Amino acid sequence: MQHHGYMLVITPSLWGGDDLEEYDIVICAHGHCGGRIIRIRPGIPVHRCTCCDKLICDTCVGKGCMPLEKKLLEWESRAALSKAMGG
Amino acid sequence: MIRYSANNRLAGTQQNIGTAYKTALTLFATTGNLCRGELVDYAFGADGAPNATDCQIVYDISRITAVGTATAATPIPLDGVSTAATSCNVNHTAEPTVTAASSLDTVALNQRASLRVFLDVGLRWPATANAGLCMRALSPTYATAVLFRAIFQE
Repeated sequence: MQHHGYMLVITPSLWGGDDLEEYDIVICAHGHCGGRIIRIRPGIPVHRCTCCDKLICDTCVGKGCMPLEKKLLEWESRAALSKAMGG
Repeated sequence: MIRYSANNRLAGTQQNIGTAYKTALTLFATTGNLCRGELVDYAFGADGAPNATDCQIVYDISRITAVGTATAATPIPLDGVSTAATSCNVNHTAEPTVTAASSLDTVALNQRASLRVFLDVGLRWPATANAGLCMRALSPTYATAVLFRAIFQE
């Protein structure tokens, strides 16, 4: 599985030193959620889109294959249309 | 792609957080210089003495569609020479317009904890005027400032 990043949480420990939590991160491939972060944790399944076979978050499950790139283009097109219409 | 760094100590006065979200840093595209951006590295934590009562701080990164009222800050180019097309506002006194249910990352940390995220594929925003990301925090008990540091590329 291709990870997209890494998360490190540092909490000072009451008993000296630091407590460290580390997570591999994947960015949701779909645009329904806006491309949110998914923390990979042992025992917690990560969903795959049945169309594009990329990793997606819980919010995007069952909502159809909408790549984030397509969502970004949609937002930009909507803004360009609004501007062209004098909005 | 050029990378830039920004944090809410660059300009303005840090605002104390409260029980409602307080935005510390926004990155957004500006009319006349529209450009997509990508947040690739961020870190945050408390920037004041911990409260005597142990508590959590909830940090959040969400999408925005309007920028609110804040102090403009100039992102620092990591190559030393470039100028960012993306605009940066820090230490909001009026909140930006946050898109509903658009949180890209939300985490509750102990007030003494800090977090760092590095991303290869980052959190992206479109080349649409005033569209971007806000980094904000709230706490039921901790009522001092928080520090957000963002590295983005465009």
